[in-house]
Amino acid sequence: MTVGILHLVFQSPSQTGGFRQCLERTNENDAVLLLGGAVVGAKKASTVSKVLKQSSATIYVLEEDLAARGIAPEALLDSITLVSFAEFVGLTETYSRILSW
Amino acid sequence: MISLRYLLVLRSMPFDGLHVQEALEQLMTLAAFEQPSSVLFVEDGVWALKQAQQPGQLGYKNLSGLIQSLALYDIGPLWVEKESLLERGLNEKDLIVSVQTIERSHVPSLMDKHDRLLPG
Repeated sequence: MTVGILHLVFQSPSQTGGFRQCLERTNENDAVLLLGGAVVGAKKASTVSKVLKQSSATIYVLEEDLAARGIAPEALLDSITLVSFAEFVGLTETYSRILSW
Repeated sequence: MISLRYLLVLRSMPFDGLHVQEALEQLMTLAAFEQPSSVLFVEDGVWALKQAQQPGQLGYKNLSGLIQSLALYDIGPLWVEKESLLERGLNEKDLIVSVQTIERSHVPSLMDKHDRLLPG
């Protein structure tokens, strides 16, 4: 499998359009890291979580940003992988190309 | 000098600050260093290509001169996402320059053909 693009999404899906705009333009080689307010988009039963389900990219959530908002890991969609700040750095090494949304 | 292929993914609304103008000017800097670069206009970014812009009363420069001059710097092609135009009631005739249209489903593979992606 070729290494695609690491997309960084910073803002909540109800705050700006970046969350949806990014996820509609990813494929199976890509990774999407939700950080900052964007972490709320990975919550189970949220309206926007269906946008996540339609993406074939690998979805990561930064655990510090999730904890800051009082959201338990169990409350996220099952397909999500939690990452620490250190693992975030690792992702930027794996994916040489990064696009911020 | 190492040569990398750059793609500016321009999705911001023009004339809401200088963001769009500055993003396009970045490409001219890259061109000065002989880095091949092109632009993908998506979402509200497509408004930068609209004909008949008159932003002068708001204190902004017209973007059409800047966009038309990109070709002089060998910047291109200019890609425009078809769905972004359609969703805004625009078509290619509304645009100041001729562009290459691309479907949303092909955007990931377009991005994949570049070495660096710039948000705009």
